[in-house]
Amino acid sequence: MKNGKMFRRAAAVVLIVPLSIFAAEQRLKVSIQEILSIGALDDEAIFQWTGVAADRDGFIYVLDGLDYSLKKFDAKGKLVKKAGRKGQGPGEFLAPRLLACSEDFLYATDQTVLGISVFDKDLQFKKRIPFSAPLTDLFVRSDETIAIVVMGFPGPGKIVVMDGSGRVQTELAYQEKYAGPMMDSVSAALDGQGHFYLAYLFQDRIERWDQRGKRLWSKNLLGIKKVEMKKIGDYVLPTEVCYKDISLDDRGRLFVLAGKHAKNPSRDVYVLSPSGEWLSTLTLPDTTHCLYIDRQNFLYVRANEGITLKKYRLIYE
Amino acid sequence: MEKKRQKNRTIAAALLFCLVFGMGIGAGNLQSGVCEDAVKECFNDWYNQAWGYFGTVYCVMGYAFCKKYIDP
Repeated sequence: MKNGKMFRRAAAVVLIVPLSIFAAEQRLKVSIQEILSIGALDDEAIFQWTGVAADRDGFIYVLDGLDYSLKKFDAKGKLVKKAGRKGQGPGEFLAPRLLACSEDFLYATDQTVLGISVFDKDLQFKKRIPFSAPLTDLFVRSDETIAIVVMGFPGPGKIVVMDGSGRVQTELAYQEKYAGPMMDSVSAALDGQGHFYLAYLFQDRIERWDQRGKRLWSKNLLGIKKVEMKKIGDYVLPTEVCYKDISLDDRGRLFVLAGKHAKNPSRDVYVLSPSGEWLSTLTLPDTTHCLYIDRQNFLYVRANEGITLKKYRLIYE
Repeated sequence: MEKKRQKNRTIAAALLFCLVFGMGIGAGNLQSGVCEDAVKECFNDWYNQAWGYFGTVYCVMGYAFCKKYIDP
C-alpha cells in the first residue's frame, strides 16, 4: 500500500518534470492581434513564401519559392514590386530560402546557389557575397555585420560573422565535435549585446552564447532525452523536429517555435526571458515554419501552408 | 470553399515539395515520412550521386527544409 503510494508520487514527479512547461503558471500573457494578411487562396500575391523581412518604413519583403522571386509589399499589403526569375544568375533564384534586411539592403539565400545575394530596397540586384558552404540561417545587424549559420557536413556547425564583402570577422563553434548529419542544425538570433541564441532543429536544446564562444545557458523545454534517428541510404538522420525557428522581440525576449513534440506542433511558441526562463506559451492560429519579429515588434508568420503571410501585433499582459 | 482550400493546400504542398528536391511526386504522397522518402530518392538519384559531396549536401539541405516547412 505504502509502496503503491510512493510509486504514484514518483510517477507524478517523473511526469511533472518533463511537462513542467505545459503545467507551470504563465508569468506573462502574450497574445496576438492580426494587423495584415497578404496572399489568399484565390489570389496570386504569394504562391509559397519561404523568407520574410520588414524595414523601418513598414515595407515587407518576401521570398516566394514557387515563382522564384523577391517581392516588396507596402504597409497595407499591396504588391509594390517583384524581382527575380528562375535561374542561377545574378538576381535569379532556384530555391530561395532565407531573407534578412539592413537599413539599405536585402540579403537573400538560395539552397542551390552558394553565397548571399544582395539587393537594394528597390529590389535591384547589387552583388553576391561569396561563401563556400551551405547556410541554415542568416541575420543581419548592419551591412558590416552579417551573421550566418553554416551547416557542418561533415564537421560541427558554426556561426560566422562577416562584413559586407564576405571577410570573416569572427567564428563561433557551438558544437565541440561532429554529432552526425543535421545534428548541428540550428535557427539563430542575435541580440543587441551581441549574444547568440540557438534553437536546435533536432535536439531539445535552446542556448545562449556570448561573442567569445562561451555558452551562457542551455535549456530543454520539451523533456526529450533521445533523438529519434533513422537510417536513410548511407546516412543516419534525425527525424523528429524539436524547434523550428526563433526570434527576439524588442525587449530581448526569445520566441521559440516548437515542432513535432509540442502540444500544438508548428503553432506553439514558447516565450523565454533573456536568461532562459520560460514566461509564456503563445499558440498561433495556423502552422508556420518561420517566426520573424521586426524592429517595430510585429510578428510575421505563415498561414495556408505558405500562401498567406500574417502580420500580428504582440500584446503583453 | 473548404474543399477548394484543401485542394489548393495540397497542390501548394506538392509543388513546394518538388521545389525542395527537384523531383516529381504526387500530392497524394504527402503524408508522414514524406521527407524521409524524398531524401532517400534524392540520395539515390544518379545526378546527385554524380555530384558526390555536393549532391549529398543538397539532399541533406532539402531534408532539413522539408522537415521545417512541411513536417508538422
